[in-house]
Amino acid sequence: MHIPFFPFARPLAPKVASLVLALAAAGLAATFSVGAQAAHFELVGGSISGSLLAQADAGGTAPISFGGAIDDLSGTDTLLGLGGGDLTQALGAGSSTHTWAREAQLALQPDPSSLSFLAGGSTGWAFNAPGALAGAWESAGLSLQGSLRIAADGEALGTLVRLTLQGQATHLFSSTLAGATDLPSLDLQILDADSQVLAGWQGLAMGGNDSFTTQFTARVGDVLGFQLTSQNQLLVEAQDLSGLNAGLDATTQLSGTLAVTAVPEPQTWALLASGLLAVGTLARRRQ
Amino acid sequence: MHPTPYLRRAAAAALLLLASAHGFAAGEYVRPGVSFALIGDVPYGLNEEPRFDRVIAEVNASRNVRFVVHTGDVKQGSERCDDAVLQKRFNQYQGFDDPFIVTPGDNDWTDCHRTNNGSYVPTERLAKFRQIFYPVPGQSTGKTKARLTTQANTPGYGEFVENTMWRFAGATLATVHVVGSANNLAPWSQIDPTDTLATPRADRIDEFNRREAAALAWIDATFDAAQAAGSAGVMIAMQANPGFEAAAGSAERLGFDKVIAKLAARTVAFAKPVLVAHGDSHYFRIDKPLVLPVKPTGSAALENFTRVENFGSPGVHWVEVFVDARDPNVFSVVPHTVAGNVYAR
Repeated sequence: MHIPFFPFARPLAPKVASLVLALAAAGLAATFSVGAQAAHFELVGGSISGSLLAQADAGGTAPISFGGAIDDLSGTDTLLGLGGGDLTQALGAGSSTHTWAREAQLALQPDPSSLSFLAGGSTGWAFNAPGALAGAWESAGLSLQGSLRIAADGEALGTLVRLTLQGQATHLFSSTLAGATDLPSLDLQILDADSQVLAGWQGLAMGGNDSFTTQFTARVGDVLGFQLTSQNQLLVEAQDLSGLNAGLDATTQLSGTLAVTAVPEPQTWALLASGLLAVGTLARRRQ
Repeated sequence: MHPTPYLRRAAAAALLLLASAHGFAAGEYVRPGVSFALIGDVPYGLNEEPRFDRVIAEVNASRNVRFVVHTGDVKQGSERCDDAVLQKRFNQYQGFDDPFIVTPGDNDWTDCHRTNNGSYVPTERLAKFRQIFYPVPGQSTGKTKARLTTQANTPGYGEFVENTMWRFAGATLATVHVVGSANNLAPWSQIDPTDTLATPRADRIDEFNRREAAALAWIDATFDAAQAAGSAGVMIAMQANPGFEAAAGSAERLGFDKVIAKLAARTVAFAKPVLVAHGDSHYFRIDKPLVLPVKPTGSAALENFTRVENFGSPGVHWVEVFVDARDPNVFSVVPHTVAGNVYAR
C-alpha cells in the first residue's frame, strides 16, 4: 500500500512554489554560511617558558653537561618563545657538537577571527670519535600559556559561536648512533573559564605524523585558556665510537589554527527546516 | 513508513552542524617523557599467570616505558621452589619487549626451607635462581637486552651478579639484593629445628654477612657513580620492605638497620632526589618514610628520600616511574590498573 508522504497537501500554485523555493534557498544559504565572521579573538595575556638540559659521557672522564632556557619575547598580539644553542666541547678522545632550537608561538592573524600556533624545534648532535661513548641524553620542554577573549563584531555578548581547531604534527628522526631514540610529546588544550577542557589534541609517536580538526562552541565574551606544551627526551645508549663519527637529528613540529565563526540562530534553523520541508513536498508532488 | 531521502539528508546536515560543544581529537591519553615499569610480588600461582600476561601486554604497548624492574618474589611464599617453577616464571618474564631487570626476593630462595616449598637449603636455591635469572652477567634479560654494570665484576663480590647499576635519562639506577624474612636472619627452621635467632646456623649467618657487606658496598658504589656522572637522582630497587618507619634496633628492622643507615647517610650527602623502590608488603604506596634528627633538636622526614612500593599479588597491576633530569623531583610515579585484572565487587 502506498502511503503518501504528505497526504493532505494540495497542488501548489506556481507562485507559492517559487516562494517556498526562495525560503529554502535563503535558509540553506544562511545555515551553511558558517564561515561568516561573528566575532574575533583578542589576546588577553600569556607567557612562554621552557628549558633544555643535556649530558654526554665518554666514560672514564667527567661528563659534559649543558643546557639553556627559552626566552619569552611575547608582544601585544603574539606570544613568542625562542631558545637555541650551538656548542662544541671536548668529549673523551674526540668532541661533541650539539645544536638545538625550540620555538613556540601563538599569533593573531591579519583577520583576527583566526589565530595561528606552532611549537617544536630540532636537535642535531654529532659525536666525533669520542672513544667509548658511555651514553648521552637530552630533555627539553616548553610551555605556552595563553588567554584569549572572544570579542564581539556586532554580536551581543553571550551569542553562540563555533570554534574550529585544526593542526598537523610531525616528528622526524634520523641517527647513525646505535640505540638512539627521541620521544616527542605534544599536548594542546583549549579551556573554558572553569578550566574545563573544551578541545584538545595529544601526540606523537617517534617518526610519526598526525593531523586533526575538531569543532566546539563557546560564547561571545568568553575568555579561553590556550595551553600548549612540547617536550622531548632523547636517549643514546652506551657504545664504542673509537675512530668513528656518528650523530643524530631530531625535529618536532606542531602547527595549526584556531578560528571563530558564526553559529546559525534558531530562526535560521527554522527557516532551513521549513525550506527543506517545502522542497521535499514539491519533489514529492512532481513524482 | 520510511523518511524520504530528502528528509534523511536534511537530518544528517542538521546533525553535522549541531556537533558536540566539546571537541577532542581521538586517541589514548599521552603522558610526556620516558619511564620504566615497576613490578614485583607477581605472579603468584598458576591463576595469576594469565593476569600477568595482561600486565606484559600493557607494558609492551606503552610508548614511554624503556625497561622493566621486578623487585623480586617471582613466586608465592607457599609455592614450591622447584627448578621448573623458577624457569617457568623466568620464561614468562621474557615476554617483555623491553629489558627485564630483577632483584631476588625472599620467596625466591630464603623461604625455600619451608616444607610446602620443597624443604630446600635456601643457599642452594639462591645459586639456582642466579643461574636462571642472570644468564649473562652484566646484561639484562627480556626480548631487548641492556648492558648493566654488575657487582660481580668487582673483586671480592664475584657471586653478586644480581647487584646491577645503569644510567637512564640523567639518573643513576641500581638493584641491591636485600630481601624480606629479616634479610635472611629468619631461621631456616623447617629444615633445621636447631636454627634459631639465638642459635643461628653458621652458613645462614655467613651468607647474611657476605650479602649485607656487598649491599652496603653497592649502595656506596651507586652514589659514588651518581656523583661522578653528575646524575640528577638515584633510584635503588630492592625486594625487602625494611621498615623505614620502625625504630633502629627494633624487631621490625632486624637485618636492615645497616642498609637503612647507609641509605640515609648517602641520601643526606647526595642532596638530590633518591627513590627507593621495593615490594614485599604488596601495598602500593609512595611516601617519605625516613625520619631523621634535625638541627638543633627534633626530627623530620628526610625531604629528598622517597619510597615507592609496587603493587603485589593479588593486585596484578604495574607502576610507571618517569625519569626526567629537568624535573626537580626527577622521578614521578604513575600507578596503572590493568582493566582486565580488576576484581568483581
